[in-house]
Amino acid sequence: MTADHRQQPLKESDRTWVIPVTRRDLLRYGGKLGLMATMLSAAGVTFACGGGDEGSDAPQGTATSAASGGGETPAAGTPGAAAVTAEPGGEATPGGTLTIVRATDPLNLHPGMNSGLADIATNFLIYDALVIHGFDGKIYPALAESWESSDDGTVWTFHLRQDVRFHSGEPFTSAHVVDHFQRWKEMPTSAKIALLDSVEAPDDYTVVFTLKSPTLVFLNNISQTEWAYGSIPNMKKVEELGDDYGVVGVDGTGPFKLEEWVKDDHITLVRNEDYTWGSPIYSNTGPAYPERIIFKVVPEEASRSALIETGEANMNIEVAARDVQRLSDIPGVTVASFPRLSSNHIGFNMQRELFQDINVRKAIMHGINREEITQFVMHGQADPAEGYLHPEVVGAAPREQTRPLVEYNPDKAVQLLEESGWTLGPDGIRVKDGKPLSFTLYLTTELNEQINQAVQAQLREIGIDMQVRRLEAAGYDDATKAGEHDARFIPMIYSSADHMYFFITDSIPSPNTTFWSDPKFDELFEKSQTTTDEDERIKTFQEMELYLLEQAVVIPIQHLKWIFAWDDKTKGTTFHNIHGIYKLMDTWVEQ
Amino acid sequence: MRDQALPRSGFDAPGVSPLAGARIARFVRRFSRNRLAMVGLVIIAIFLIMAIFAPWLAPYDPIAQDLPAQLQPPSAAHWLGTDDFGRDILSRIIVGSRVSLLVGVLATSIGATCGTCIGLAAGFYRRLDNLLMRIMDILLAFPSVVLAIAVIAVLGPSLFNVMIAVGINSIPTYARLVRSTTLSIKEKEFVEATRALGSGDSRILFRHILPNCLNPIVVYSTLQLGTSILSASILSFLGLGIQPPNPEWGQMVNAGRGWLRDAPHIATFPGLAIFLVVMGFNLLGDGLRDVLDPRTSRA
Repeated sequence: MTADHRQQPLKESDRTWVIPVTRRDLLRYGGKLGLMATMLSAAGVTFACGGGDEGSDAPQGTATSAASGGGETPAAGTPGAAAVTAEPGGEATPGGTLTIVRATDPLNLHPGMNSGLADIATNFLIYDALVIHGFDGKIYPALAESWESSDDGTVWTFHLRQDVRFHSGEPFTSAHVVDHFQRWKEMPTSAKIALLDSVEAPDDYTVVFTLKSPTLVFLNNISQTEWAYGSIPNMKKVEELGDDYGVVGVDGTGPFKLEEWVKDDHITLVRNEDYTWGSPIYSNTGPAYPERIIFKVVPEEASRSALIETGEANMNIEVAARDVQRLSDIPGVTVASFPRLSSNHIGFNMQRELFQDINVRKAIMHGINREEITQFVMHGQADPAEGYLHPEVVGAAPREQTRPLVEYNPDKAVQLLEESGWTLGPDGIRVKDGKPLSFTLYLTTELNEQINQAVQAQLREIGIDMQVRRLEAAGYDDATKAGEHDARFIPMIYSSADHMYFFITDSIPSPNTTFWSDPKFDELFEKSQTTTDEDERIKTFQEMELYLLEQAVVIPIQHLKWIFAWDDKTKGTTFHNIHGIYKLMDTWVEQ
Repeated sequence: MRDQALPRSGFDAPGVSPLAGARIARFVRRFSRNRLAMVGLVIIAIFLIMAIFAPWLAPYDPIAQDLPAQLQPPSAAHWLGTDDFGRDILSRIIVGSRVSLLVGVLATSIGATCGTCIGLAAGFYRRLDNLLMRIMDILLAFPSVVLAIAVIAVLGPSLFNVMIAVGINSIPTYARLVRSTTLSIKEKEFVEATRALGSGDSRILFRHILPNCLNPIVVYSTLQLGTSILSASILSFLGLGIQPPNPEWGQMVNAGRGWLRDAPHIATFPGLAIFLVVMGFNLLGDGLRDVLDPRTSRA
């Protein structure tokens, strides 16, 4: 790599905010809402990031349909955005290995194949998309230099960069874009581009998308938002490997190449030396600084923290809430926690006879003491849910409307169950027609199990027997797609209310593992995607959230925070408010 | 009638004959002289009493959560402290002892019953010997935990499946033990004599050969009880055994592991319980072997 690509002056316009979070700051504010409140009031921003092992996907806010020419397009649906960086600490030097620990391994690195957070985080580094979601919440050029849309908002033309090559050396052309979007239409996450009618390539560096109807979210849907589905792989490699693509091999245009993948152990990425098409959202647009990035899979929370303590890892992107205090006491370790747009929730399998009874669903909704779980299981590193959507998300219904639907009220829960004929049995579990009020909740990870053990005890108090079954990510994925679960728990992470496509009929069986099919909800979602009036769109999302809660199809528990810890050798990292470590272009490791 | 003239094992029911009564008295006398074995016996007795009277002994409901009281160190109210859900650890250990001992006893019984039958058949019928013992060799070739995980992966995680998985592990050892004893006993003259008197195979196997195999089976079973409890705890530790919130020692160690730095008592006490009960069975087993094995007994 050449020195030209290294330390470019930081463009303030790209980062609305840069704040070093030190150990002392965290001790002072962290663990409570102090850190969040301070930041929010100071800059009117919110921080949110994806993490965990399972989650959602979401298009990114809205963009006006008249965007044209390579400019910055504001994503109106996204809350004010910001970046948090680790202390810059002098001149960035290339080289070294950045070791990152996380809880789960990706399942498939073919963009669009699944919505696992580990998959997406890895795909950010291996691939680029046509456009990218900046630190300020606006859409910036990436593989497309510029774009324009027709006056009616249904035809979008993108002009591609001509200097881009895949890791294999294959030149990047419009054919690859067309191929990816055509395949994406058949993939599990295709609901995101449901409005796409056709995609064509008039020449090697132009792509034309035709939509069935105009939408405010098109740019976001195809950008590299938190799920990276719009990332473009090499069609020849995809063709060659077929179903094995994303498992056996990958080929992208991103700043890092896949070097080695030992399943459930680690992924090693090596720097793409030819990378000169970096996004302008980073100050470094040339090759990335670290020579290698190693993602280590460490499912155990305590072990992940221990690896930071012993210096075996540079960064832990999934710090356990209980380790925050202890890690921040260690010299040389920085811990930072940010609220993230997330709704971890229980979703019922609506095909089960038990959950056809809305009173049972509502009783569970009112039977959970979210405050207590947040305080004692999450140690304050979460916010109790008062609705389904995070209150900072554009489209979230007013909390005074959602609160009564969600509030903890065991008396009401008991009353609802009695109304439906569930009477208390001798062992404290309710019975109706000889059948106990019992179901099994499927989930993954230690943390989710802890949260739901608390839920389990609370539900037992109102006479509901909830069994908890923890599975590995892949087993969970298969089981919930097949509908083997009575209910499932996921920490849904998103950037906008559009992620509620998770609950529409077209998303059954995946990602809609609730198997809920409701014409009213489907209709509302379609309206949200096709309306060209922003106010109308927001109102529709609010209606959707209220309807989802009224029907008690999902039981929101809390809004998580993302907690990062990194050592003093890791410098310059800019954490995206929604996408976390994102593309790591400015990160460097002190030798 | 004809059996009475023949040699019998030392394990006849007490009181059958003065000879047997004297043998038992001698056994008790020699066993009680072995101090370590007595320590083992006392430990096991304490845990047995704890398991039998668990609901009356446990000071708190073992699954009742009290989140505000979480992570308390040992105190007068909670002798062994509370876990991360505010549950009383002493109560969980007491109630958990039922699961651990039950798994130990049933898993050992499964292994002993199946292994003994296979061993008898292999030792007695030469035609079956090669086939059965090669199957046992295959089973022995698997690392025990891996085999148990495979069994549970097929059957699904539950308490009963843990017993089966742990039990299967001990089958080959029982089979080998019983087969070798069978091979030597069946050549003895009294067996020939019984056959000459017209006894069928099953009578010879279960009335004459089996009683003579009992000493090694009892000794090995006592040692195996400890191993079974440990294996079951390992499986629960891995999340394959009894499911939460029901208390089980291995699972409690697993749950407390994340708190090892901040609240070490959560994992330590159930770990100590596993250690004690396994040690108890091992001491008891060693003592029994010393007394029952003719090669080590001083008489």
